[in-house]
Amino acid sequence: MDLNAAHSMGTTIIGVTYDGGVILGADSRTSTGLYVANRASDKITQLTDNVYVCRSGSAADSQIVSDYVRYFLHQHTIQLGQPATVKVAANLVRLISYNNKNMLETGLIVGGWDKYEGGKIYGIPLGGTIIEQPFAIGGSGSSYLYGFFDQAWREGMTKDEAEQLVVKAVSLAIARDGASGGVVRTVIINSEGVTRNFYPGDTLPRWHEELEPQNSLLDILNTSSPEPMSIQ
Amino acid sequence: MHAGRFLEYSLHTVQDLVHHKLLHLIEKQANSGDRIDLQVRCLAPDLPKVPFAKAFEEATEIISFRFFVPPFVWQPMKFFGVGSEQRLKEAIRVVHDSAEKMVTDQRIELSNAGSLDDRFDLLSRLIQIKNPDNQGEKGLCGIKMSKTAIEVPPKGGFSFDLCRRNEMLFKKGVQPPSYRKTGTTIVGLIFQDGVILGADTRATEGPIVCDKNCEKIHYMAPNIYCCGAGTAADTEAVTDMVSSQLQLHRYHTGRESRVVTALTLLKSHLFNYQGHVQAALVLGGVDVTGPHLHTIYPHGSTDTLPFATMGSGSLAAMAVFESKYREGLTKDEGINLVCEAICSGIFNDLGSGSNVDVCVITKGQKEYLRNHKLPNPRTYVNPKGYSFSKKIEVLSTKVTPLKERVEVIEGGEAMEE
Repeated sequence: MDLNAAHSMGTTIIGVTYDGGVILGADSRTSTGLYVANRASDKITQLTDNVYVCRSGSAADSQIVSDYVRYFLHQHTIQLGQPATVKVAANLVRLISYNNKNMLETGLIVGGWDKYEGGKIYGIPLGGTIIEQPFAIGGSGSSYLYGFFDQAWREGMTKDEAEQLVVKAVSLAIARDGASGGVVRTVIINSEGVTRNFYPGDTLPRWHEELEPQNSLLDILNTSSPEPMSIQ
Repeated sequence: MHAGRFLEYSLHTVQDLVHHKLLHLIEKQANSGDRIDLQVRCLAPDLPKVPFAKAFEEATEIISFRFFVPPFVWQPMKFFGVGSEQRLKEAIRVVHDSAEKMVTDQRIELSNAGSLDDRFDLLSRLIQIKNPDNQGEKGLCGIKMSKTAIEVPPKGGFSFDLCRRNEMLFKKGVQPPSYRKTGTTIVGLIFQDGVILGADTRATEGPIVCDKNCEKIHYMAPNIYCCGAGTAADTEAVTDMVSSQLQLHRYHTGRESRVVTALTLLKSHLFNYQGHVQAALVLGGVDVTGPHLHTIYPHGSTDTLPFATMGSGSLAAMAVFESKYREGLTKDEGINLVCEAICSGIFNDLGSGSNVDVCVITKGQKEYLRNHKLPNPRTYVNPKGYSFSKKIEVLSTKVTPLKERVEVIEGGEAMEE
């Protein structure tokens, strides 16, 4: 096993608009080959106060891209004199992804809220296309969610409905995709601000053949040891 | 396009040169007993003096001289046509003339032979395509000499060409020389007052242990330490470099270094080299914002965690951490847990071994416990000791303590040129 292999986030990332804002969701597994290097990573990174990005693909590439965009957006905000719009943030991400497409391997979903357009989601897959969508999915686990979203998503959901949809979707992907797992993190962005939520792996709904979460067998170590068996 | 044929051609050329020229030359030199200087561009003393080659070399040397002196020295020289610049003009003229002559010769050959299909060089190919007219002449001269290589300095940036060459050679079966790796177990954890880092002490060179007690916990700043796994040279170089940068930064700002500063410097450096600098690091420290622990991977990605392991023994150590770690450990509990995790790596991973180093960093204080645990003592020691074989006699022993010969002066004068 090559522990110095490039860190990739075989992932599930989701961005969904609802009536009043957006909800971004992601799993938390970062893998190096077959080893899970970080089981509790945070793939939803802040770009500005009102714009966040979900990262997938190569961990190094996506971290560097989001660092550069945060830097440019900060300058842009100072020059503009007011918070940046989601469209500008998404276009900056797109410019970096497209102009360096030979060297980068990262798919991103930019989501946020601004006072002109309200809640917006932009998907920026490998290669640097930018596409504004009412909902976007990405990462290796998203393959299992296309049909689900076609059926389950609808316009004008409330905040709670939308968040339940995101959590359900990520847990479905975790059930089927080996490269996704851990916990589900969600970020809700609307006119009031930003709320971060966290759903530990054992609170997620289970699907069909999945097992109950086992209490760690290591808990036995902490309980007092039983009487040794006697041979009789 | 013709990559296969090109490779074959290069192979044949090299073989030719070595067998037919280099070996004869060295044999001749060996017989004559002369010393040869391998640095000199042309080894054989009795080769015909080709004026084109000589002029080309001279031009290149004079151009490189331009880089050693500031522009206001060589530019007036060029304008007035004096000194080395005059020789340069002469050299360039010779080169131009020779190139033109070469092109004209090729054209004559073309008209004589009818076609140049069996000649692979670029000039023949281009001559065949272009119509024979005078404008083409100049263009061909330009291409032939790569004129720009003489006049313009090369562009900056890291060139990955040799990395590609290495990969190509590796695919052909050429084994690269094995370099010293720290196939390692390194760990870090956050406890109630700060950060504890731990590492084993084995350094390997392929299958051999080359250092039984090396130091893998590197100093970055008085409040920041970094454990390194991967190629020993890379981890040492990168941590030394960032440590110096942090020192300069402290001088500029007048403040204690922060862990995120070290993190960003390391991460940008490793990303720029796209994973070719093989250093996997566990960076830990305590600054004004609190205790921090980060892992940095060779490609430049980072993670921030309460406990982390890296290196070949990371799986063994992580198993220990996952079962026994909890928040709010005391210092002794933390040190014990770190030792356990490293020992797990030492005993279960072939790339890790020997002793355990621990470093405890708290607010305002650090404790570097070198060889905190020695679980692999050398148990069998020959009681007879080592003795020289009977044929070797010690004739006399003289011990001169050097302290008597060295005079240490306090104060004194500053050195001057």
